[in-house]
Amino acid sequence: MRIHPQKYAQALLEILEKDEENAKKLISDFVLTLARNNDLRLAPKIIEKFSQSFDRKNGLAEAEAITAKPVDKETLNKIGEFISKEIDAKKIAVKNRADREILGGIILKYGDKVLDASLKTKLENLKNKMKA
Amino acid sequence: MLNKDYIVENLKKQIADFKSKTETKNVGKVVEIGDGIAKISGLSEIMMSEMIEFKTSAGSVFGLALNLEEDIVGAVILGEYKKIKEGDEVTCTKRILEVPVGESIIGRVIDPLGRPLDGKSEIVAEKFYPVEKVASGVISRETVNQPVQTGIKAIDAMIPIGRGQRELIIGDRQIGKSAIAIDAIINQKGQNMKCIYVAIGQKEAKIAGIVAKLEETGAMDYTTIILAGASTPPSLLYIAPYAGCAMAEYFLDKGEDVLIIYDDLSKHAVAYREISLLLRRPPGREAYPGDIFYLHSRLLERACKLNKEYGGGSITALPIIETQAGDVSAYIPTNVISITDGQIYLEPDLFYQGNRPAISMGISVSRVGSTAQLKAMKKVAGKMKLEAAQYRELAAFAQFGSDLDPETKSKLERGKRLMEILKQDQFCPLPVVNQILIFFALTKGLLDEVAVDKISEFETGLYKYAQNSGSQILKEIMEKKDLDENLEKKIEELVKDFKATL
Repeated sequence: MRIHPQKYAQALLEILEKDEENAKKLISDFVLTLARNNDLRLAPKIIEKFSQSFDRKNGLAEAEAITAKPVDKETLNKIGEFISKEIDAKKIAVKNRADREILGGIILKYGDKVLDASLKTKLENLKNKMKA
Repeated sequence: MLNKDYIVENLKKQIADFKSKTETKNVGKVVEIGDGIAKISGLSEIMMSEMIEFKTSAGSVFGLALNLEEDIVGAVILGEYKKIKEGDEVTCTKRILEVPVGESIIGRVIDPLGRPLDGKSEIVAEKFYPVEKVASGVISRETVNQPVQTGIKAIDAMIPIGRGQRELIIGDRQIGKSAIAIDAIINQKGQNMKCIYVAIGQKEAKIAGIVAKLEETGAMDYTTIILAGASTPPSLLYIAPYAGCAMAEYFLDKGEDVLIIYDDLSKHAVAYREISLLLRRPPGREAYPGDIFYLHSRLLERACKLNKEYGGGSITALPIIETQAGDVSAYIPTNVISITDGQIYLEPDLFYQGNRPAISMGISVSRVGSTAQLKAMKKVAGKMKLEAAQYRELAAFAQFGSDLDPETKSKLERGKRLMEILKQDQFCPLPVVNQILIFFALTKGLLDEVAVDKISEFETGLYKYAQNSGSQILKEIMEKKDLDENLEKKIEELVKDFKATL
């Protein structure tokens, strides 16, 4: 039977939570199990799923804020708070990236969502509307 | 105010009024692209058959989500896919695939997404209709009760089609399947019918010829051609009939009658097979996917006759299927035969003997159309189908012996004349009243003295004579739509008078 990477990741997370001290041994056992099941090639996927499941369980999430000019810490914290309300997570790690191309405003990316409130997009929408 | 000032003021107002809505969008990334199929990660909130937008370096391209898997979405690309690259951003549009509908599509040649292909102006859509729609239910329907006059003698007399019926046209290649459909369109002039011709995987040269012919006969005034040619990607071939049906449903909802032709559904099935195999859905018989039956049944079920409370409109569907070497028991032909309300089977043997249209009387049937047939036509043509089928058997049998009893001989002679009458040239649809006239003459035995090779001459002469000296009688037939003894006598006299002039 083929076992999905998601199931492996879930199993690993659960056994690690139960017995945190023996983490090292558990992980090596886990790798041996993978080898026995001939599923070692799934390892990269399992790692990806594992970190996703771990983040979800602990309410962690990553986000990216693109602005025209770099913003200060306080604003970033506010952005983090806003996103945490949106996606129901406790701790958001917000990265800031400056991109002069967007002219002004902000683009927020979190998970597979994008909130585009940049000046560039607004101007483009205006252009499209006036064309029509 | 000066015109220039007015423009500036107007612009200012537009800019001041402009409110840009900012909303969260669901996005994904192209993981894999090829053969018109994209695999996309992300898009956690996507719906089945939702339109998605690919943002490429050269503008945006639309696609259709068909496979929603655990962490990957499989989508077909509607149009040019070479611009899309791995890693491109994809956004959900939160809209099911829709096409523009309205009066403005009439007389146009458009692609399945409603973009013009005839070099004329853009289509101004009154509304947008979803491409996939659930067919009308039991409550809103009624039985077929009005005829569709195709203008083809063999069909109108023996395989009558009613408004709201689905009648399959099936036969080998190059045998006159499309010709029947085109003749039917031409004959709808003045019959209160909108026509939609959906060309799926056809040669563009053939369509150009059809458009020219329809324009010449004035049929383009009520006809729309939806063209997904042989060079269009399979994704567009796949949606073409559904898009055509959506456009027909606009007129249906207005209570009008629509005739829609799907030419042809075998190519549609092949396009869907291609998409399915590329999406890695498991292949079944003849490598078609498991839902190939549903593909056609849900399309043809949308043809319907609505009752008065729901507007009384109808969609009559004439799907066309191309068989390989006369094999009607292949997968797709049997499927569509079982879905439709009858079929018109075109036989190669008849075609090459010169009996055109080459409609085989034995295999062709219409399961519901007889209730819609004009009573007058039913009276004269009622037993003809059986006679025509019997004649062919008898003729084959009679080849071996010359000594025949008089009854058989007269049957054979009658049959020969019937076969002669059923011959009809392309693009020459015949008004139903003329059809009634000639079949009346045949069944009353008034043609028995006319030589077989003179029949067609007699026919054209009779129509002309009736037009000139019997127009009152023709009018009476169309008004009554039935034949009583008195009227029958009048018609008989008319034919006899004409014979006397010969």
